[in-house]
Amino acid sequence: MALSTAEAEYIAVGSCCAQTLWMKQQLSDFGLNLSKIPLLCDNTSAINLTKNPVQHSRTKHIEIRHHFIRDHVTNGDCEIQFVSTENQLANLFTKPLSKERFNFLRNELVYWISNMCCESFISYVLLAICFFFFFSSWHFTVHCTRFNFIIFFLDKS
Amino acid sequence: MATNCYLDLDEKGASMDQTKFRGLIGSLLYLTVSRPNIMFNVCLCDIFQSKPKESHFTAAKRILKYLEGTTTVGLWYPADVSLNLVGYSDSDFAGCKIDRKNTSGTCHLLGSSLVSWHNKK
Repeated sequence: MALSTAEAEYIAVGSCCAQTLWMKQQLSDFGLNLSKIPLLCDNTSAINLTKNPVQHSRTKHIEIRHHFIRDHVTNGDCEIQFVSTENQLANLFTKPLSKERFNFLRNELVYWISNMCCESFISYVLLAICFFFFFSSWHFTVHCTRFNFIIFFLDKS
Repeated sequence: MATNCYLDLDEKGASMDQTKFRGLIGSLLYLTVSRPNIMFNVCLCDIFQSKPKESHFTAAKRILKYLEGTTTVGLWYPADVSLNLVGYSDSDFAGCKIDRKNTSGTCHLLGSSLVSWHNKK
């Protein structure tokens, strides 16, 4: 349980950092060395907590394991940056949203497959033309089965 | 899901078959691997698995209706992007109406595509 929004955000940044470290390790195996990975957070108090360990009534009781993030910020593994709530993509995973907001975030994160098809439509047409010319050089025999399926097969003779 | 949606234990509601509800939630959880947009709603519904009521089943069926309408949406990983990792983290303070626990959510973008996401109460 957290007692303030800053603490709740601080814990969320900590779990984000843990995942980031794992991904950083994985990417270094593929020869991609990253440092100071930006973690975007929409709470300035939480960001300041990672930089400067101030102790006041609301931050005294935070469990020691949640200060894991502060270690990694000092080491330069990650860097906490501010992002406005409008551009906070992780909003989609935490609360029920209005239709407009949900659609906006969804379109930022995932893509419409139909858009992808439009981009490669021309290549499909070219492929179809190539196939047409290839097959038209052979004799076609149309064979109707009793199930009314039409099967094309090549007559090599 | 509507912003004013209020799902609670619903003690007085009509109970329903637990196996059926669990089966549905199990399938939806499996689907969150490729559909990050239903992550929050599935995680909200799956806490009622021990005593499912009709109202919870209605909420779960609403997710199925949404999925039916968005079959053309999917993750897309283009080849020619710069590989820079960005993490987003957000939390909802006392978001759960039952025990007032926080919900934290994170997502990671490699280049411009989503590679990792997480939601925890």
